[in-house]
Amino acid sequence: MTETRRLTVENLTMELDGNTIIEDVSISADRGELVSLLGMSGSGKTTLFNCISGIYDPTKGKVFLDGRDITGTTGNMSYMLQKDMLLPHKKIIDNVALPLIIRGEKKEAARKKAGAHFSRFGLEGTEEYYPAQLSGGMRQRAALLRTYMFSDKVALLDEPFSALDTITRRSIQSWYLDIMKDINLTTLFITHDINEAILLSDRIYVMTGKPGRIAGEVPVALPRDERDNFDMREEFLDYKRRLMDLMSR
Amino acid sequence: MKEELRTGEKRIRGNSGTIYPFISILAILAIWQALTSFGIVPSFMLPSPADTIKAFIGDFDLLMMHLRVTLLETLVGTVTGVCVGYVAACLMDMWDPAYKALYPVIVITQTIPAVAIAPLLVLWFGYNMMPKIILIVLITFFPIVVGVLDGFRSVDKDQINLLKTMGATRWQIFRHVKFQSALPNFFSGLRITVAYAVVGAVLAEWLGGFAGLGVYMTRVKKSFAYDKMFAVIFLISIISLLLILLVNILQKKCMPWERANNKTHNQKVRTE
Repeated sequence: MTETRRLTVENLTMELDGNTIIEDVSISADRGELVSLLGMSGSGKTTLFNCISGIYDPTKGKVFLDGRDITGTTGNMSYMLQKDMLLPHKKIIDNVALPLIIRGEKKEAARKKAGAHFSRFGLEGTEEYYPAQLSGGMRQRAALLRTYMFSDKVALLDEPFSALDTITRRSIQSWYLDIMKDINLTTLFITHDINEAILLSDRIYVMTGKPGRIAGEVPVALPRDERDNFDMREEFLDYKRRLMDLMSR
Repeated sequence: MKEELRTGEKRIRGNSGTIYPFISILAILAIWQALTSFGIVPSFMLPSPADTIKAFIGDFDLLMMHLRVTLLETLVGTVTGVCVGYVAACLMDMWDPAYKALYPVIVITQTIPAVAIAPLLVLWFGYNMMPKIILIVLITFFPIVVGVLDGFRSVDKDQINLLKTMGATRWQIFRHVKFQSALPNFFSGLRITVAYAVVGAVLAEWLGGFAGLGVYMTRVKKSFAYDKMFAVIFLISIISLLLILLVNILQKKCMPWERANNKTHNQKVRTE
């Protein structure tokens, strides 16, 4: 099992200041798969992400990337938050190129590499701007591009679109799915929005309780590119009912 | 897409704003001139602005010679103080025991007035430049350490975490986030510092030395040349102002993003 999957989390437990935040969590994701973690706030989703990305060293359990044990080490996968976290003192191009520079590439080469993706991410012409000069949606796209520059294997997205208005959010979601398919990126996605989870995911893990545990797993059978108007259909409501059921248990 | 930057209105407001201090300064000078011209205050006690300017022009070469010495002391002292202060702040930020051990000591040293240690420094190090430079270093050190340290500590934790997930080293986190985040605090510290540094140099020269504006000051005081006294006070003010201006220019050069952020901020305030 471990060998074939891109990302595997095994029996992860994390204690912080004597409190158990998450307990015995096991999840996995394949190449190109979008997996959601659905749960109410306080169920330990963000703590789980911090363990996977290596900011925290978990109390128990292991994290594997392509079968390699990466528990407690950083620099393996990209992480994106609800806040875009663009550095206000760097131009957009330098923000986006930052992961490459951290990895040790020369500034000019990193800028060139990052610049090559600007048009695909709908950011052309913004290279020399500072983040404060862009709109929220554009900043979020710049943050996504930075995430992508960092790792083309796994992206951890922690409620990345929840600060955007509905229309910007819709367009950025479908755009993200396109990009993901293009580059065969694995995405682990935190959300507390059931609709968003069903619309975007291949599989959904429901996380509940204190300490947080995985209450259940729901695969969404319909292929991602056939989901236009999915939320108007009967099946959508079935999924929603099942998820609600799991969450309230 | 690209938000239009509204600059025009700010510029107009800024221009009309700079007129006011000029008016008040001119008014003060006019009252001062009137007080002496009409003999309300005898001119040997309070020289008029015109006398002061005359004295300034008359002694210009001498003043410049002394100024050169004072400026050199200020420059060497400030640069040393800033470097030492910055390194100390970095050390205290990186290593908590250093913070806990040094911070109280640094605060205590600041409660000792410069006027009190200056004569001691002159006694210990003689009439040359050394005591002046040491005094300036002591004055400069504190605002820089406190400012920079506060800057380092106020950095957004999420930004640091983000860089950590990228696998950044401590040096990289400093170079890409902490350094820039601490710049505003650094420059406020530096602004306070440069004005104090000139005054510190003059104070130390006052207590003993061979050249410098403070030495010039004690000489003209002894000969009751009040017009020259005022001329040198005027020169010290101008120099302090110019140094603050220099720091402001340096800040604008070092922080080009500040302007972009401020403009957008103004615009957002306007649309709300």
